[in-house]
Amino acid sequence: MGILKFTYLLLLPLVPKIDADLLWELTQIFSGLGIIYLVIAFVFRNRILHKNKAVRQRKKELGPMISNFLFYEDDVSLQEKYNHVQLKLDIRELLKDNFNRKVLVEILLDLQKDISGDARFRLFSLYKDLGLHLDAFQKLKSWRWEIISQAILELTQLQVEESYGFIKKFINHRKGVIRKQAQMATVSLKHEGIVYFLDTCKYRISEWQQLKLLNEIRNLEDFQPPRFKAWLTAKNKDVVLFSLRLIKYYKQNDANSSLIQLVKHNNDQIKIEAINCIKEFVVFEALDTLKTVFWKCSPSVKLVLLDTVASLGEDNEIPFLKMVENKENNFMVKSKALSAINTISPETVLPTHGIDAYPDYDASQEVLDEIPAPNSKEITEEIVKSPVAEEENVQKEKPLSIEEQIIGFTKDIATDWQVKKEGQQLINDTDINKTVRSEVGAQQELLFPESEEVGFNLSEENIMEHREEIEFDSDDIFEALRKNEPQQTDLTDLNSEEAYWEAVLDPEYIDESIFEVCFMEELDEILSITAPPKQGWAPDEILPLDFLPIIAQDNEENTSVQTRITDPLWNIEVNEEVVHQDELFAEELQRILNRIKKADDAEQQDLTDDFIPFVIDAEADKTIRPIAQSEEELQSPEVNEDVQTQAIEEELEEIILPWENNQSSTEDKADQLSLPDIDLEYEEVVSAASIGASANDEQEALFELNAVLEDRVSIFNELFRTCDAESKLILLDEILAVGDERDLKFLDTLSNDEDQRVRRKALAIAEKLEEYLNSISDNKQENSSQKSDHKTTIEGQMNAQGDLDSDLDLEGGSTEDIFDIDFQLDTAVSDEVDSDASVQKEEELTSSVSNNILDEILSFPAKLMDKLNG
Amino acid sequence: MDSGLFNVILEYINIVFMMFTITLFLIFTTMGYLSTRNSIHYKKKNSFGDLSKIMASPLAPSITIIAPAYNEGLTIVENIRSLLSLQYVNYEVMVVNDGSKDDTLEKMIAAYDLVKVERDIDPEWKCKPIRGVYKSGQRSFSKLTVIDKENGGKSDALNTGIYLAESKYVGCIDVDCLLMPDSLLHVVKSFFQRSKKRVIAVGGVVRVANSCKIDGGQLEEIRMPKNWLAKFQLLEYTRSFLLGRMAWGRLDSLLIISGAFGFFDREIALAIGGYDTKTVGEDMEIVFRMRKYMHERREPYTVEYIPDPLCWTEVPEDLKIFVGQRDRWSRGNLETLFKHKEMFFNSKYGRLGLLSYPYWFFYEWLAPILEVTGLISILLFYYLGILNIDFFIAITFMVYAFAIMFSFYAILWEIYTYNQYTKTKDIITLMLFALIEPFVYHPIVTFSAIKGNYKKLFNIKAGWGTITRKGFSKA
Repeated sequence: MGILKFTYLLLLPLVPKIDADLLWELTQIFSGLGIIYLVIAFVFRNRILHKNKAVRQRKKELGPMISNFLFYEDDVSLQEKYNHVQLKLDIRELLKDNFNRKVLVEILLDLQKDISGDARFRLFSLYKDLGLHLDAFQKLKSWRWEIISQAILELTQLQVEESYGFIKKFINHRKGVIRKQAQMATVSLKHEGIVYFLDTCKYRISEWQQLKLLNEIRNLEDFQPPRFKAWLTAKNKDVVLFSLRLIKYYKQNDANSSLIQLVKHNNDQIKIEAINCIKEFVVFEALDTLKTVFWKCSPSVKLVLLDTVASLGEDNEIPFLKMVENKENNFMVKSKALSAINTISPETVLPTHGIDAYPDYDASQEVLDEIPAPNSKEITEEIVKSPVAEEENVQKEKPLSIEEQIIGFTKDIATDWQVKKEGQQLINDTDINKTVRSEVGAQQELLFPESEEVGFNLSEENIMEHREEIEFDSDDIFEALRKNEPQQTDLTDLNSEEAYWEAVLDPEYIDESIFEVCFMEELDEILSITAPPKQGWAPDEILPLDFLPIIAQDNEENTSVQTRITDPLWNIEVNEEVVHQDELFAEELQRILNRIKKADDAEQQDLTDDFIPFVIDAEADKTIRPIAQSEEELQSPEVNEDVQTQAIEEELEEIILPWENNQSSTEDKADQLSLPDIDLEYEEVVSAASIGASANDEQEALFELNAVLEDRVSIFNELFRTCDAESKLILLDEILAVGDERDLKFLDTLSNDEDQRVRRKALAIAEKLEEYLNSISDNKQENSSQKSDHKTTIEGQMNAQGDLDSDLDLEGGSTEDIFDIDFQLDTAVSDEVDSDASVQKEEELTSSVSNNILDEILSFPAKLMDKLNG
Repeated sequence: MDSGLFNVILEYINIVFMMFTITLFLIFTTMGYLSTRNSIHYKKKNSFGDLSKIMASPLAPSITIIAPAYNEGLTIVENIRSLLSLQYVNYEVMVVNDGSKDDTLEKMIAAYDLVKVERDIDPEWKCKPIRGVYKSGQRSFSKLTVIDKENGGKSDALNTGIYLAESKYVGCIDVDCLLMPDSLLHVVKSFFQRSKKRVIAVGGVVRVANSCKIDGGQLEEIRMPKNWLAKFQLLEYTRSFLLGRMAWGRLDSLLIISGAFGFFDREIALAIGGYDTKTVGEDMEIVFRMRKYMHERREPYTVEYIPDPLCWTEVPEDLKIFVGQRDRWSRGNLETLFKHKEMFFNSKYGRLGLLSYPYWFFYEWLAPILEVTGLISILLFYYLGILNIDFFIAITFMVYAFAIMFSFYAILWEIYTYNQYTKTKDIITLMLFALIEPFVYHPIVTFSAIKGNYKKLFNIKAGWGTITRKGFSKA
């Protein structure tokens, strides 16, 4: 208690007394401030609004005056000259007011962003003529940083070169904003400004400033950059860094030694930029330095460095990269090292995680399993004749042990060395890490690429493997192309191992093998480009040789049709030579190859036409009979060509009519339907028509055409799938503009759309479109009677097909007929009906189709040669 | 005698409260001053130049925007579309599907034609297993990457994104946020404009998008929220972002970057191990750790703050959801402060330890507790008949007047700087809400904070809670 008493007596006098009146006074002060803020808020707001309004108003007044000055020509009437002089007087009067001057500068600054050329130079002159630049010069003397900066900006943007001398003094100003603005002005007002800036810059240059400076320099007209290596020795690190970036941007590859030296810089950014330059300029001699500095670098530098080693390095860098992988702790760096190894030497590092243990692959088992699979008797016979098959049969009886495979593999290596000794340099197989399986498989596939037909798995990977293994000699291959038919039959007689290896080492055979591999690769590429994406097909899936048809378009699946419509690549590539699925395919290919070898340049031109038969619509694949039959049918008198021709014409009209009815503007047309779409539609129709031409009766022809028509899907389908309701409403208007029967069906489906507005509009559009299409069909009927003359001509051309066949020197490849009709028909139409607008369109379309095909065909040998040359 | 001692104690309690209040007033006044200076400087400095010119610069750094998504099926497609239309050349949008139970992933796959791709991840990196990484098959969506992973919370999703991103900078945003088209240009500028310090993080203002007119992922018209709770939050956000954070930014003591709009130097974020998955206040905690990391390495650094309205978000309009959100914030606050308690008045951390941390401790965490304590004391004193009514009324009015004054100042500054709400009616509405805020909104916020603290202190299990997205209203 005593303590408490003591405390009480001690503390009581010390307790400060807070007067409630003080609190009330504070309350009043705060309330007063609150009210002041409220008033100021509204005053501010009104002032801002008023000011904006006044500026807008003044801009409206001054804008036309400025335009008059900018676009005034001397050769005008006296009255206009008088007006111009009067305007000058008026504007001088207006400029006496500071507000007007300010607004005028704003207008000029805005305008200079939007105009170019002569008008822009006039604008700069006007700025000076009106003496506005003098205001800016005056502002440069201000003590306020924002006013000086504003003045520098003004003088820079309005290109007052006279200000350069004044402004460059500010590039080392202690106030950052002024300094940065002055630096920008210095580099943009005069071309030598960048030199002055880099020479004299003392302060650090922020990344943002560097970005802006580079942007200014990029926009200079006729700028001749100085050799930036001169500043790589600067004391200012940022100057060095910026110079490195400029060196990279302007690709000045004359500073390799400095770059190598800068890799050792203690600043990471400089290091990274130097390494980037080394990568950009492919400085091989920097590799040793890179490896030396690697261990002391930060992870971010290491990543860039490894990337560069991957880009520049060769096999001898792999030990270093493996060491990095082993020693480095950082996961990212380790991953990068592995990635670099695989970049230098692909497939050196293979996946290891999540890989289950399996016994080694026994290739013989698969071959034996696969052999009976094909139905074709010829293929089975071929297997029996094939030495591989025989070898596999032996293996089946006595499967190779691992040891035996290794022995075989060693023999392969020895053989490879022999090949190299003989100067063939064909099989580059020194990588002992490769598995026995891949060796054996690769050898087999190299020798017998066509063996895929009998069930070998010649996957894309394998083909790629061949590409790496084979070093091509273009001259040899060219020779090979000119030689006669390859000695493939000889191979079938190779029963002994000695004969087998002899054949392998036969240069002719090797060339041929290379050619075949490359040709298959080319076909693969065509396949990969032209084949529509199939659901569930993985890129790494094994691709059997019996991949035909290349265009596997499913009648049932609208999705593939949609893909074709929306994918421009598809649209283009469908015009390329496409190989048809047929038993005669191999035969057909062989024939073409023979002709390539035999043909001189002139003949090759003809040969390109022979590729035409390969073009076929996959739609036809399902219903069309074998090509050999088709040719006979085409020549058969039973074919009702009238019906076919009419069907073709109607189809073409359907495509073209919407165009004819919208001929008011070219742009409109372009908006309504893109060319690839038209190409595609045309192609579909022509293919269908061609199918009809090869069919027995008109019913079948019509059936084919109808099938094609029914399967076409509105081009809007895909668009509607991904867009929102607002976009749909806009697209509906487009449907009315460009739509046809397909879109009518599509509009029906929109009646179930979740958005009510879309449903309503779709109904309305459907009605309008129907009316519109009815009116078109009426017109079409009228036109059809007028075109009967043309039709007769076309029929004549169709009958002349036999002549065309002989001209093209076709050898029974019935697929050729399909396209020949198409091709000839177009020519006929274009020759005969020039005056008809719709047919003119048709001509444009078909010529574009045929041109594409011709281009592709003509480029085929070149492509092939490119492939062979690696 | 005893009553005398009791009086002394009471007097001292009065003094403690008084000092607390006066300090608070002083801090707020200083903040007002600093933010004013900073805003004026920012406005003047940024009146030069055209950001869009830099958009396609070859030196433009790469940025990855990471947007965690959990059950966002309703709005995900639209939100991604908005993110993909930003004005910047070198950026990637990485959506992390955090084990959504709805059709979020399916919708993304369908809308953006996504296909699975192979990606390696460091087995040492702590995050929930990744089920797949998807890229769009369409060229127009090549900037989009979708990560599908098992549910691990927002922090875990963000960590996955930070790890898998390859850009120099990573942006962590809420997927339902609406970013202005030029927002990345502002962010890059903030990261790049310093030459003496390394910018380790950039934060920005988050604006209230409720009732705004949004079309095609673009903000068409700014409108005042119709909901009363959203209006209060708008006022609070204006005060907090325009005055509070601006002032802390000026002092280089910003300790929090909004989870809705925060960008980080990826190298530093990785170095500190990303977000802490064990706290619900991860956005504050990561800034604490990044700052500590840089302090300990003695590297010059800063955290930048952008006052431009670049990010718009939907705030809760439902009272229950709102209370849940604030409850989580206060728990996060407590967790972070407790985790980094060694910084409290620690001069080793400079202003961070001597200024920022104590402010957060006393005025963000302790204030609601003191408020409630004060309220209980008043009731008790009144019951005991020892309450000085005159003093009580005077101090109450003073505090009220100050609060109103500060809110009015924030409104005034909003008009002066960005003037987003152009209608006179909107300004008057905001002012009216400022008048009633201490009686209506503030008690709710205090209650939520107490609830959060209670849960945390008594170890009552609580998670993130959920927020039902309504989606931005269409034009």
